[in-house]
Amino acid sequence: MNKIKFFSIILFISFFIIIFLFFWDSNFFVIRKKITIKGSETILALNYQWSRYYTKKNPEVSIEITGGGSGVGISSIINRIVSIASSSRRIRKSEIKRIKKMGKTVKEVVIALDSIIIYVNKSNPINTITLNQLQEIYLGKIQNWKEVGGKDEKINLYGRESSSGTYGFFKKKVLNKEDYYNRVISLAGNATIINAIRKDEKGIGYASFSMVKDIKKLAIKVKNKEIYPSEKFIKNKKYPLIRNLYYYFIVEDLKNEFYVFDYINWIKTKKAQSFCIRTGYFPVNIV
Amino acid sequence: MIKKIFDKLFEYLLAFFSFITFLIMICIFVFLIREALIIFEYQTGITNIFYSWDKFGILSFEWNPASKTPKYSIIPLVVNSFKVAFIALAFSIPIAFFTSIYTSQYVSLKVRFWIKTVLEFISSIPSVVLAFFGFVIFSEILGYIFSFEFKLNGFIAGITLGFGIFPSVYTIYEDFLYSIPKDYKEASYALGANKIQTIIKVIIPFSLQGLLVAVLLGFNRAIGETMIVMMLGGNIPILSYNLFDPVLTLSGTISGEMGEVIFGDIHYSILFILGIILFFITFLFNMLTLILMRSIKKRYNFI
Repeated sequence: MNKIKFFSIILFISFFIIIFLFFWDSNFFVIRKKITIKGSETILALNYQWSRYYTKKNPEVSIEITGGGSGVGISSIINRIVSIASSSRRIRKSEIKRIKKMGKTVKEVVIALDSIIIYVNKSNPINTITLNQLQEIYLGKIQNWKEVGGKDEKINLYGRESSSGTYGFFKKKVLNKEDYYNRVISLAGNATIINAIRKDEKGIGYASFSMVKDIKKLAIKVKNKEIYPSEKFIKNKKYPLIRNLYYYFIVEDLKNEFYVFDYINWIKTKKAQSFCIRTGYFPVNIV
Repeated sequence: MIKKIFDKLFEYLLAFFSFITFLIMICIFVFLIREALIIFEYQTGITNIFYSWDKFGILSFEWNPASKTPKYSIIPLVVNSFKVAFIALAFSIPIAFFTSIYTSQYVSLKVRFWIKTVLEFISSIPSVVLAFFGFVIFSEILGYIFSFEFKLNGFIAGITLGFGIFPSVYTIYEDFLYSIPKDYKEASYALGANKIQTIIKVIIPFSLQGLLVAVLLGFNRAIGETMIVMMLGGNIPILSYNLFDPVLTLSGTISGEMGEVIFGDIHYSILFILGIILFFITFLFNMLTLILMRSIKKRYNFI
């Protein structure tokens, strides 16, 4: 009997400790300005860079960042779970409709530019490609590297999963909204695609700009002019495959959280935009 | 008095915790069904999740949610899920079978302990790590041997998955073999049979039900596994019976597309329908194993 008593006391105590730890937070007793951001996995790295710098400059603000995907982010601002949604795709009409039904308005801020780059293996002899050729490759009309000036080998196609923003962007810009050939291997994330192409000599794939060295970035030929995926061409918006990255927030929900606007305004400054290049994106204001 | 109160409180605490799991289980199921029912808000018809008619009027089973007219046939996903699970089982069953006969019948206790410990350690490797291992090593080696049409395909995913589930199949079957009463073996020896004859004629026939339990549990793990299949399977939802084609499975679709999908959309609710299907498949096989286990217990009075 004594033993049971002893254990039950320990259990009770540990139970309350667990509950205490659950609700206890390092800033539980200090009123802090808390910004929460949720959304796209692509923007995650950039968000971390920004938040680290911003919270160092403004120690009374704490920024909480989580991934999960653009769709999750936008549904989270609708449900008032977070204050800002980061998204790699534009908000859809059906989502705007849901917000309007609640009598609220959503605001959009372009935070950075992302370029979609065509990657091939380092051993591949071709250097340039036209958008038309790219379309035919991804529709399955061209299936051999010989037809675009390479070796006599089959083309292995790589792409993103069908719900990702990059997939939709590529489909709209390159494929003219036609369906992908059903032999495109879809992988999650930029890094996985780049890794796969690094090892596949016959592979071709699209992903965001990456600093990885041993992989070939194809230049895109527009009107007999080769445009390399370099900083210069992307900043000038000459490069054809550029898309915007967004922040979304609902104005009515942020009435008492004015400091969120300070953060958003800070992102548009030159200092904040200089973080973009470090993470593989490009600044917005230099156009 | 205080003793009694503590006693009662302790009991309530235990009841509370055991009830919580039950409650969470119900909540999950209600949530799944609630989100899946959104599909009825749209006038597409429930048959669309099985088949659709393409523009030439031919019956087609296609999963292509990003198309102009989205196609949501779940048939290729279900077929692919089973395909990968069967490849995994075909790879892991023979290995688990022979290893467990070896460790339960031939080696000393010490060696058995070490082999078991190492194999159980394999089953504790996170599936992401295993997937990355497969991505770097299996896909290279197997690609070199078979020279696949696709670098990533269902075969590689299945083999890696088989490597992941083989320890758990092994452990269950080995425990079963080890706990077979000595009388059976000794009776066989007394009749003049040698070791091999005893294993083939007595031990293996006796343990077939145990093998079935192990295989069913392995199957359950294989069909719910996500990370390995997503990283190695190639994720193309084509309906084919070629083992070397890329696969997109039920669990892979859910985790790959849930993040970016529009919430409250038809695509979103279909992902929940996939979840329900997965839930029912594992539930069915779990029930089957439970029934089998009970019948074994009744018949042989051991384990």
